[in-house]
Amino acid sequence: MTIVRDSSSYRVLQYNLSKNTTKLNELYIKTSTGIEVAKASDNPSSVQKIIGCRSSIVAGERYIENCRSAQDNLSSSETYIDSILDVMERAKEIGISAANDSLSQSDFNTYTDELSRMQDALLDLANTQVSGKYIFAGYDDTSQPFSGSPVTYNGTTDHQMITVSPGSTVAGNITGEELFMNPTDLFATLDNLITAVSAGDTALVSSQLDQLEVAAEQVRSRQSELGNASARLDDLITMHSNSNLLLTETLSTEEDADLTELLSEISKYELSVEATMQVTGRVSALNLFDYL
Amino acid sequence: MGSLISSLYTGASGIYSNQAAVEVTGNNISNVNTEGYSRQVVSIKSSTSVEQGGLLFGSGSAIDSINRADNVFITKQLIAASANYGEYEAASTPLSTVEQILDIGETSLASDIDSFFDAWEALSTNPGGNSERQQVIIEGDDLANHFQQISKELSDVADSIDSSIESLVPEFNDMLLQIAELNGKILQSEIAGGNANTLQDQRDLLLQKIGEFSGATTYTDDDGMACLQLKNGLPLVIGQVASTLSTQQIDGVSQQVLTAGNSTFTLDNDDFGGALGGLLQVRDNTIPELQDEIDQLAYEIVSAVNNLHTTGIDLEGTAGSDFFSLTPSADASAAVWHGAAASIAVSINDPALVAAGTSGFSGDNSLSLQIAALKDTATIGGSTFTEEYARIAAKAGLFVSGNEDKLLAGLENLNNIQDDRDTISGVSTDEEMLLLIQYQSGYEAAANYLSVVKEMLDTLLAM
Repeated sequence: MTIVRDSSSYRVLQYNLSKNTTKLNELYIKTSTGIEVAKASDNPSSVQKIIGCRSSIVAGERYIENCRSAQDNLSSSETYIDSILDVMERAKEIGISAANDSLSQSDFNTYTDELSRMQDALLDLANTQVSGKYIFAGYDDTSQPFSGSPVTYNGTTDHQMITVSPGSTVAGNITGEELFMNPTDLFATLDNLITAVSAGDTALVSSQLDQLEVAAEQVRSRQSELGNASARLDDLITMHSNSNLLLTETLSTEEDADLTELLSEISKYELSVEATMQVTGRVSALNLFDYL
Repeated sequence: MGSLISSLYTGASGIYSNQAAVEVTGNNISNVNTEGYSRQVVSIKSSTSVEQGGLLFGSGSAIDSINRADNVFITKQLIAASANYGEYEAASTPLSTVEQILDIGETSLASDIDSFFDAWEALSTNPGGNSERQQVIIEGDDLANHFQQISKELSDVADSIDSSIESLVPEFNDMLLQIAELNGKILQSEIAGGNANTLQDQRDLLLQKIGEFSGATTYTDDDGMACLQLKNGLPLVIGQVASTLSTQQIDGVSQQVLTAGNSTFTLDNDDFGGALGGLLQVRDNTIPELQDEIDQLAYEIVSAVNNLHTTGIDLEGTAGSDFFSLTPSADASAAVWHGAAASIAVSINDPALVAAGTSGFSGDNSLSLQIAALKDTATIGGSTFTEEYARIAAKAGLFVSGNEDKLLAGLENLNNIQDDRDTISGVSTDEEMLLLIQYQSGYEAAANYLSVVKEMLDTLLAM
């Protein structure tokens, strides 16, 4: 038979009382901070997920920002490309009118003047600067990309790629090379038209019309590329926003305390602390001395 | 037939015996809350019979002995359980500090790693931007500082373990001396035929405390002296001779040295159990292991970033220099990453020297894209940098939760054994009250008997 001595019963009560109050205190802290896993030992297996989620949320927010910044770049390019297209279409209209045999030399001269002004405008557009940077210069965005006569391209053919989701990038710029020079040289095309118009050679003017259309088509295809990219970026922004919402939710499930569960745990432990206290009171009350 | 006078003596012996028993009971009651006290039991025997007229007459009672109720087996168990509890209890404080250093909150090292690569990602959208470049340097600084801080705090924990051991050693040596002294005193009083109950209680309690501190095991020699030895068999106390434990700086590391007689022994964490073993275990195994992994993480980040950064060209048109600097470990036999976390620093001050591309053009972001992509690259053992940090932090968490579980189990085990000890050696006031009543009534009866004998004597004398 195991005989329970005074010190045993007090020790057991003291141990249980301190165990339960410690646990209760832990629960109080969890409830008041709302965090279940505040330190790694609370649940070592969820540490990887918690840190992973936080990482992905930071990355997701960056991707959204990257998409927006790419969209900003592209939409400012788009404005200028619209103007370039206007120039090319007007040049084609002039070409069509100038192919008319009944025009006088002074008419040709007027058209020539207008075309030269347009060529200047095209050069200005090609050297557009946005916040101090040439937007059609590739990587070399601090030096003027187009100059000389005939106009040559001095920028680079690089696209500034922007990461928009893990492992996938979008070009944040259009290079002067692909827009103005290659395969069709817009400046040379205008030059040829000017030469034909100023000479009043209607046959030569007519022969330039196809080339003008090809040049305009080159600008249009860049324009539609921009539109597609912008639409794709919209989709990506939505996707990243949604995925960040999901990640935040996952993080919360891993990290945050379940209040309902905590509160029911708390009442459980409060009850057992209360019971221990009551029993402790009785232990000293139950004494042989009282009956002597 | 005995004489009436001898009957008086018989009665008196009953009074003496019961009075002595009441005294022992009183002593038990007084010591109900004395730590390590063993209940004492009075053994009353019947006095030698006297032969008269061919008949044997009893001559009353006498106190045979006053023994302590103890069980050597349980005492040993108690020492072992104390050592077990002491080990995990002592380790729990430094371990939880280590866990806080490798935290998993929003300001953890993982967040700094994220922010650093995020700054490169931001730079890629505006590679010529001064503020974006500045940001990369600032985030790099933050990351380097956090590594340094972790490294320093980990070694601070090791240092504080050293000083807490140092502060415990004098008390420990004192306890060893006390055991040796008690061994002598107990032997003397037993040779003199006295009882050494109180001294034995003291000695048992000390053995338990020494066990809790050092994991030392005990055995009793032929003279009944308690001897103590460490886990590796080195003697702490033999009979009346105590060894001395001291702390010395050996090769810049604080080590424990045992002086036994004329010999000295250098000890390491395997030689100890108990609190000392637990603390040394954390200092010599846990902390170096985590420190090494943090070092490796720092080293891998530095190499990966530098390897790419040096392939680039900065805004001034010169080849990219190292982005981070490291002081190589002085110890040639150590791993290459040894000491990396303590010495990592950003070696670039001028934002223009950040290489965002490989062409030197201000719009070239190709390199910043590559560096930013490092955050998703499995670089260390199939993990990315943040995954690796999470693994290290989870490991620290496992150390803590494992220790907590063992501590709880150890405490419950210790409580159980203490209950077992109390069953044998503990005092129950109710039980003592019953004994008190019993002895009191014995005393009363003996006194009544005496008065009857006295009346008989009176009757006889009045004749």
